[in-house]
Amino acid sequence: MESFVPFALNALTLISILLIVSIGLAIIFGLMNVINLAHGEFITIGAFTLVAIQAVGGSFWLALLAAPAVGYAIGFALEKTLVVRVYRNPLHAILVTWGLSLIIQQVIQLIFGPAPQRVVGPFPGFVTIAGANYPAYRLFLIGFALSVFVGVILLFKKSRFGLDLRASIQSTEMASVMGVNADRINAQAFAFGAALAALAGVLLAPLTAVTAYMGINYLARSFFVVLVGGAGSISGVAAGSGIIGGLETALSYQIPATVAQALVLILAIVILRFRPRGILPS
Amino acid sequence: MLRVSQLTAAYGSAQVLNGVDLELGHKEIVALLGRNGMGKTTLMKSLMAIVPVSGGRVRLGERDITGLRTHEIAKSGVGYVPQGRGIFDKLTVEENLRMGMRALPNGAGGVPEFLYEQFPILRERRAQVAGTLSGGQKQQLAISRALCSNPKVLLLDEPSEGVQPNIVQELGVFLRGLVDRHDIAVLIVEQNLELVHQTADRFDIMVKGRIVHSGANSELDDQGMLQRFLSV
Ligand SMILES: Nc1ncnc2c1ncn2[C@@H]1O[C@H](COP(=O)(O)OP(=O)(O)OP(=O)(O)O)[C@@H](O)[C@H]1O
Ligand SMILES: [Mg+2]
Repeated sequence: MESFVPFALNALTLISILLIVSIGLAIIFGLMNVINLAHGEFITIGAFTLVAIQAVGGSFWLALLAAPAVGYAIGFALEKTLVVRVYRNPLHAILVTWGLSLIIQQVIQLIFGPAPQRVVGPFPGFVTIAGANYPAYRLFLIGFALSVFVGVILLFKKSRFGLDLRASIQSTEMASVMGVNADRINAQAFAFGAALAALAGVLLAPLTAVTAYMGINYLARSFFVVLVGGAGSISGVAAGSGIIGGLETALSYQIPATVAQALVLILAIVILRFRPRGILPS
Repeated sequence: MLRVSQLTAAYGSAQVLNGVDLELGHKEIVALLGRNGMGKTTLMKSLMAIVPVSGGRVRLGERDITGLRTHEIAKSGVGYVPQGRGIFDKLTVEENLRMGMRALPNGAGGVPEFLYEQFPILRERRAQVAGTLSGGQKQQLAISRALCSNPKVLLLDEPSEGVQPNIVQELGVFLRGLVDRHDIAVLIVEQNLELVHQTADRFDIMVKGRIVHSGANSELDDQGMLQRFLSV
């Protein structure tokens, strides 16, 4: 029990981050059939929003509000100027979003320099759960990220934006026959995914070295979350995050973290070999 | 209500519509007939700007809607039920109907009561996923969804396809009642001549992307004419 609780919480930390990062990727993939290789950079953008805000004396909480707005604005602008031109051609989409990710990394490095940035989380202390000490901030992160995920599900199920999105994912053509502006919903969905990734970036920042390249790791994992879970379904994202996050945490207790990550990705490929449309396809 | 003149459209280099002229009067039901592959569906898709129009004009009432985008055409007052119905299978019946209201000026509203009266199954099954409905029920849903935005023109592409005969009969009665009671005109592509007989005021026949013959309903008994334009 004493070692299980920290394990479960560590797994939940990774899983809950993967949830909110992957849902954006899944929406964009479900709607536009585009793999957004720049998605990880929105995590970085979120983390550096926190760096910038703390550098001028602002609080973590302000960054938690500001980062999604920054992510949304940048995501919206990039979709309107660049990504919108490449939806029709998957290869172009991969190249353009990949190029975009390299550019964002370099711009961030130019502004903030190559040295890892330190940020401070809002809760320094520990909490004792079932005899084990656990960082309070991580508990907050898990609770907050899971609430965001629930909020996103409610938004999908209950709001007009969510209905338009679900209809458009099934058929962009019929949604526009109903009167939905396809360009607008695409841009909003892309920006929404970017905002969620930026939010994840703020949550992650106190736990890791904040560098211009921090997003790359999460892109690979969320990419497999979406593929393993099944593109375009929320339950798929939940299942995929659980599998990838849980396994990686379990393995990293036994073997070096990088090897664990590689093993998980290999396992994901094996799963896809047998279930090419994912575990819970939409 | 709807006036189409010299409309042309192509898939890549294959021209499918070769100058379509067609008119749909106020409260009129016009049937568009023709053999398979003559371009009837393509005409409807180009009226909705799903297939791009390469030439000609489309007027809706006083307004020139040529060149508008699909969602703008929907908002200008054209409802469209595609061949195959285009139901959002994973949404509930009610969500499908709510999507039908997106073309209203504020994008939302209530389902017109006459639709629930006519098709009570849609109210009973409103919380059910639309993919589970039968073919006839899906057709009722598709037509109701298109009518939720109170359009001036309704485009119906083969509504009887995959629908039981008694439901087809009901559909005919419903369409007649619809134009009698509402300010709407209907263009209906149909293979089922009985349904055409029952509902349409007159018909146009399309051959290779052109209207080659127009006639009144009485002419539907003319075997020679049917043989010439419709038999396979
Ligand atoms: N997406 C497409 N790409 C290329 N050609 C197409 C496409 N859709 C239809 N066509 C061609 O355009 C022509 C007209 O097709 P259309 O579907 O408009 O005919 P239709 O009159 O509706 O036939 P049916 O009675 O079978 O529904 C056909 O020759 C068809 O092969
Ligand atoms: Mg057709």
